[in-house]
Amino acid sequence: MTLVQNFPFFSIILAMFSGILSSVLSGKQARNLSLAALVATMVMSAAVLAYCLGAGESYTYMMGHFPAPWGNEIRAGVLEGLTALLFSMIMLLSVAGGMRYTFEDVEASKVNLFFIMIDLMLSSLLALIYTNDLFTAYVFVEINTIAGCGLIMIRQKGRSFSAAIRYMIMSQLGSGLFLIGLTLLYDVTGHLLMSPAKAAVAAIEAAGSYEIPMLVILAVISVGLAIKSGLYPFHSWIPYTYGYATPTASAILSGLVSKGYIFLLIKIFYRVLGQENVIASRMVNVLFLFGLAGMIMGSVHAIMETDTRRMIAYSSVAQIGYIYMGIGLGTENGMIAAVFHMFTHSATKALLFISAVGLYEVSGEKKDFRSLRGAGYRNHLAGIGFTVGALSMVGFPMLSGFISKLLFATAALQTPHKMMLTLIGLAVSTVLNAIYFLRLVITLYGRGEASQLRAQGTEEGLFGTGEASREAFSGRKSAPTVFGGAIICFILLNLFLGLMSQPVVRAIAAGLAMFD
Amino acid sequence: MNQVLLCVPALLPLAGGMGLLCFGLFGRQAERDRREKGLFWYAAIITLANSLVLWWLIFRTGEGERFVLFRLYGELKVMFCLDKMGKVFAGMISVLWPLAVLYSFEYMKGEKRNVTFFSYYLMTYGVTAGIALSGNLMTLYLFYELLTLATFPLVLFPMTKEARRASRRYLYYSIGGAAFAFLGLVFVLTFSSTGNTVFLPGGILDLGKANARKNTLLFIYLLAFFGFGVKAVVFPCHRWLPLATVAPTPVTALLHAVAVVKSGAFAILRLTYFSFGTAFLRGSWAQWAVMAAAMATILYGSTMAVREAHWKRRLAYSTISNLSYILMASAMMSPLGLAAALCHMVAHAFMKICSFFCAGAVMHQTGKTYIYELDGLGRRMPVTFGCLTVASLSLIGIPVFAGFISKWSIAGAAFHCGMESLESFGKWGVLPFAAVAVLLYSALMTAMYMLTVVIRGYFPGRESTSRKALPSVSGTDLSEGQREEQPGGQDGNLDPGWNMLLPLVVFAVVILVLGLHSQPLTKLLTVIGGEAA
Repeated sequence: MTLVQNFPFFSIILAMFSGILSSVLSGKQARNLSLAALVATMVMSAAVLAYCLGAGESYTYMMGHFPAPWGNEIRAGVLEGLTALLFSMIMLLSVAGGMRYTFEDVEASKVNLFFIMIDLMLSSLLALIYTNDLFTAYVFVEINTIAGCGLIMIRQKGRSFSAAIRYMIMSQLGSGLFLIGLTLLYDVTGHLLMSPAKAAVAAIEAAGSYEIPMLVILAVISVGLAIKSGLYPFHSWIPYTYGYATPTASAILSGLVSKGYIFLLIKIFYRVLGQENVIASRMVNVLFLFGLAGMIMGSVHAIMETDTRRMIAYSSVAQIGYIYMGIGLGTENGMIAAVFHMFTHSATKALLFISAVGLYEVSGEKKDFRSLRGAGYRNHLAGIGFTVGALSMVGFPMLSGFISKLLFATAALQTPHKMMLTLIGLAVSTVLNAIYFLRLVITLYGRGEASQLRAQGTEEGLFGTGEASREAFSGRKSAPTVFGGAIICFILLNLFLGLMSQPVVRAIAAGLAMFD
Repeated sequence: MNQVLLCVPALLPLAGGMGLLCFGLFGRQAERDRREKGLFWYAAIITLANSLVLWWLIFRTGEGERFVLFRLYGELKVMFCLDKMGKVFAGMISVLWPLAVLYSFEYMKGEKRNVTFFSYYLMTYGVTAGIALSGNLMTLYLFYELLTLATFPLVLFPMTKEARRASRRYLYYSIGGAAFAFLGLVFVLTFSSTGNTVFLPGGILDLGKANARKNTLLFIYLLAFFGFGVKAVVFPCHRWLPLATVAPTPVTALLHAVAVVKSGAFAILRLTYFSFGTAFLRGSWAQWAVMAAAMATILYGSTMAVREAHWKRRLAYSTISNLSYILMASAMMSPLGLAAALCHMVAHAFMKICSFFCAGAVMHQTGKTYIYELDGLGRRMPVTFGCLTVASLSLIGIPVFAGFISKWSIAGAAFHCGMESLESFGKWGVLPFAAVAVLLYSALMTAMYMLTVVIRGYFPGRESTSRKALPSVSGTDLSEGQREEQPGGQDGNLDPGWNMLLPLVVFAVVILVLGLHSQPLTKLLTVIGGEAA
């Protein structure tokens, strides 16, 4: 066993211990620790990814001294490494980008609690990615939920309490269903480790027994995780949660947490229930239809919304719909597209949330998107970041959204009876995306009519960078470098996924192949 | 070395425009004002240099020379090449752009945000050149999307409420259209015989594979046609163009009469003749559908133009109908059809930009935008109205002007296609003959909407002379405000300065030359048509 093989375990435990340690540290120290843990995780995930790519196969890692059917295991392959790498990178950028707002939004005495939640979130996400044990997955699902609630609630302002309660209730409903599914599965197969459970499931399917219980297990697990990731009819918590939390929390919750559950679902499909059984049971068709409905309805809701952050949140509903539609296609290419879109959406949505807050700051912190008029001139980087994110969501070539769209469309061509629905869904949803995202972009760069703005005494701001108006609006100095750096890194990440997607897609395909 | 040059015309103005935008927006106000003086030279040099490179490429590039800039995904590469059809388009824009830049300098004098204006104007040049030079459908799609991005700030430029509304609608329509064009891209990629989306005369579909799912593919072709058709203002997707006339005239003239709309038409030509291929489409229901859509658009556009009293909007409706001439010709799916489409593309470019520049000159000099305000201006702006007359007669299709040549070839192509279709495809073959009737109706309407302007200009009529000209003799008609500043005084010459007149005169001369000596152009176009269909 090489040192690298220990890294998945190290990164989980490192994140967890830094959370524990943070409880006795001051806010600033907790921040530094948290950032260090994120960087270390990133490096270790990259090492794991490189190792698995080099070895060409995945490996399992025994936790404790009990071998396979009883002990606990971690499993790492290309897809796990890649996901962990991207997730920790996006988390790092979100934390860095929203740092100043975190310190403003959160009470000084509670800042270290915020970073505890971040650390716990990181460790639970990593555990969801790496674990090979269903019950461990459940435990970390719960930890994830608790950390999520904490992140929402810590703002202690406005409607964040009710948002947290909504999130808690919906999440618990999801976890509950997931737990019921696990219990049934354990009843039927007698295993909680994924690999032996899969063997048992295969035997059951071959024997043709337990037909209905297996269907129930599949349905309950899928629905449970779908609720937690915010698939369309179960999306009601999303706009509240993402709309009222601090920017970092919104970026992490929308970008990563929901994707963690989807990743778990994919893993259970492949590693426990067997993808071919899932396809045969027609559960994929249900996911497909809900995904399609989400793509359209999420965007329709977003168009009707005037609060920018709720608009971005509703757009998440649409994007989650894309991912489930890809899963629902029931082909390997569909799954690759879904996983790629997971990455696309994480990178883009986090960028949108972080840059939106930069725009708010220079526009008087009002909720209505119309108050952002001309904000792109007052905070250049945030404006550019938001524009890039919006274009990526619309599927502009050279950005990551285009590649997702391309992968979805080419995957759809291979499934004749779902082809037309998917293609029309993609086209219509692109149009809808364009409507609300580009409306925002125009608002950012549209200057008000001269007379009206002159009345507000901000004429200088209309015709240039407008130092004066920026300060008039926010009373602060120019944007800090950390924020700018995070935005630039996000843009680069988007461009990377858009221009050099081939290796990523290949890695996803290799990783999915390793799942079997 | 030669092949690397293929990407220069696209990238040079893009880089130039972005550089201008970055330098122009940062720094203090006073400093920016000082820099603005160099703006003219900067924009002029980049535009001229780019046109020279384009011309050099047009004469030096052989068939099959390609340059791959980068690989987007798998077989989707961003690739430049310059075939004969691209050369026609590239040649057209390389003439128009420098003259339009010259015109804009006079027109935009005194505007506050010229840096923004010219940086996007330059970028649009690069993007349009990219469309001309694109060697595969992927590249075309990329530049098609970029075109939307580069031109919408120009529509937004006046920053009024109407401008915001217009730019919003422009964006929604364009991006929405691109979403449907995207489906065409995916299908061409999947069903191509070459494994990529390269443009080859006659199309690249693998006919064996494609015929198995013919109806699906035809439906997708239809979607892609209307997708690209958004920019080419086909009937149900035309509503952005009349609104977009709120932009400054150089934008309306060059972009919304030529570059943007013709890029849409060019994309449709590429899609029809170089991707799907006429062998697959000819005689199918999709052919009749697109032909009918184009005919409906012609009828609609020319009728609406007669109704419209706002001059620039009237010209916009005229653009709608004229763009569909191109599409109707291309819907013939025959060698003659492609040649006629390209011919009208070139001819219409010069006619329409000339008419728009005349309208712009009148707006700039007198502030008049409605047609009923133009009484008697013909004598005070002789050069402008002279050019307008040439352009109007040409648009109607009077012989000796360029418009005649192109309309003649469209009618010829329609007739020819009709004869063939009647034999092979039964009752639907009548449709091309109807196209000839549509042409005649539209010519009548064109005469009505273009000549009313000219006639009002030259022959104001007794009543209006007594009402309007009299006060101007006594020198009290200063209500327009701007008239005071005119050096020519009340009855003097109101023609604009040389840098607005020169483009007008050049365009009028080109229209005449094309009309009298069309042989070289039509010969080239016939070769293109023969190869591609």
